[in-house]
Amino acid sequence: MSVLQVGGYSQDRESAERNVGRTRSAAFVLSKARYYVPLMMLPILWEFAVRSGLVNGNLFPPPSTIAAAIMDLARAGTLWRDVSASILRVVVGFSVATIAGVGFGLLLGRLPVLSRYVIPLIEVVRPISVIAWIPIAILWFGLGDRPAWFLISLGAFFPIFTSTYDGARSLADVYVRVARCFGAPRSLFIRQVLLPATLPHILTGMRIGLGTGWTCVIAAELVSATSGLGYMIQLARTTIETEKVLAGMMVIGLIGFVMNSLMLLVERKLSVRPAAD
Amino acid sequence: MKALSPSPVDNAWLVHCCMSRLMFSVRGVSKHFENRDRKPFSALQEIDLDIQAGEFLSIIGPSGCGKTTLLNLVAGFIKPTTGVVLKEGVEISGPGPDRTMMFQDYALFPWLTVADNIAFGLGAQKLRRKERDARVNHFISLVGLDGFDKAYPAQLSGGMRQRVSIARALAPDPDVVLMDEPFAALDSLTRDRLQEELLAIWSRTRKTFLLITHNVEEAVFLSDRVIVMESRPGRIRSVIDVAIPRPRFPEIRVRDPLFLNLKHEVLDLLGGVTRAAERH
Repeated sequence: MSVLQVGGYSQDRESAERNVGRTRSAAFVLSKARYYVPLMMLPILWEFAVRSGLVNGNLFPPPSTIAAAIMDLARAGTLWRDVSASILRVVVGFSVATIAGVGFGLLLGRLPVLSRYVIPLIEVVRPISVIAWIPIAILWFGLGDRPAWFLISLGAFFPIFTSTYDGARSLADVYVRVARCFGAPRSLFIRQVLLPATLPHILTGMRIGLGTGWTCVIAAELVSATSGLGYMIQLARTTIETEKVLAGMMVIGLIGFVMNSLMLLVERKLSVRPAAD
Repeated sequence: MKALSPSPVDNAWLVHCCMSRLMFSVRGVSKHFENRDRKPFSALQEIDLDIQAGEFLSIIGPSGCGKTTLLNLVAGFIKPTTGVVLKEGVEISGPGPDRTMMFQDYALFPWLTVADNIAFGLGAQKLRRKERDARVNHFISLVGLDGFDKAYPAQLSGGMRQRVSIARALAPDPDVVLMDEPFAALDSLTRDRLQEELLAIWSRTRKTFLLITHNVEEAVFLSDRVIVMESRPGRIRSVIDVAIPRPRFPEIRVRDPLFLNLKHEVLDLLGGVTRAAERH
């Protein structure tokens, strides 16, 4: 097989795929759009149920009212403040969780001697819900960002750690033997063997961890903060502004959806290895 | 060992510098493992073997004869239960880039390019980037993979992956290259071609090559000596000297009477070994 042949072949294939992509794109988008029909139907049915008097509009404000509430909050500027406060907390907590989860996951995954002692400890702490940590977090850190950082880190740590640990543990023995055979220094082993081999596991753990972190920030803000989306819906409850509560919930759901989609995108970009021709 | 050059002076010189240096010395080596029922079994029993520097040595035998165990002992992955394995007079304490291995099924890193896979073998040496790239390129050319330096293993055929594996093993300039059934997964045409290239590389580099194989023709075609092993317990049954002159051309596989005789001799030995194993 010559270089030219191989190059030519893959080039032909790529351009062929591009052409197919262009002609099919409209049909492709339509075929994907049908998966969102139930999502679109929900607000329509809801709106209809309220307007026809089947459902109490005070307890279930219709989507049109919720949308108006979101617009109001956006125009007043408080929505951006709350959204950015919540996201910023997740960024901090999630970063700490990623560093700790990946670090400990790789370490314990490769050191069974150590993990035998540490894993039982982790498995006992893991089932304690983040909600159960809120009181102690307030006692330790007071109110504001710090308890939220703590709770998010804690919540996001476990999925990241567990996934990384499993990935590091399942590293094929033959790769370890190759590294030993060639006398690879530890840093090279980590950079070129352990990390790339574990990366798909790490990314999956991070995606799940980010989702957990996002639920944690709201929980933390309900109780221990004076800003953020969680605080906002809690405050709206006390003033019985049901449409604001639901507006906040909608925004929480949307942001979570976007975060997950972004992580899936990153996962797909980084995990895909060149397939065989 | 036969010299490449017909000149008697060169021959004498080669005999002096290649044959007189002992690379490995395996002395009274036994290796016991425990099987699943915790019963010990003997993978190798009382192995004595000398391997000369620059020698191409093959080890052949039925499965379970301990040939891979022997290779792992030399590589330093495991330690003998009794006896010693010496390399140049020093006991082997662990694996090292002076004894590189071509692994079964290549064991290339799928997330690294061809060039990075080959460079991985150089990781133990502190090289400047330029120097390292030059070394990598040299070995890419040596195994005929020019233009594939940025390809990933999954994009290569089995034969090309094996070439990467050869290049990775040679790049750190080891004293010894250990090969664990390197051609077992290849089709016979690719296998023959790679054997010939491996032979050419061996005669250029003059390194010690130690090959584990199932393939009698491969062992005879490549080697200076063929070690025939038997199983349960793993022991050396016979050592065959392959006195076929070098360079060896592909035609000898079908034409050379000495080649065919040796091939049959090894086959007969293995047949006896297999029949004996089946009686157990």
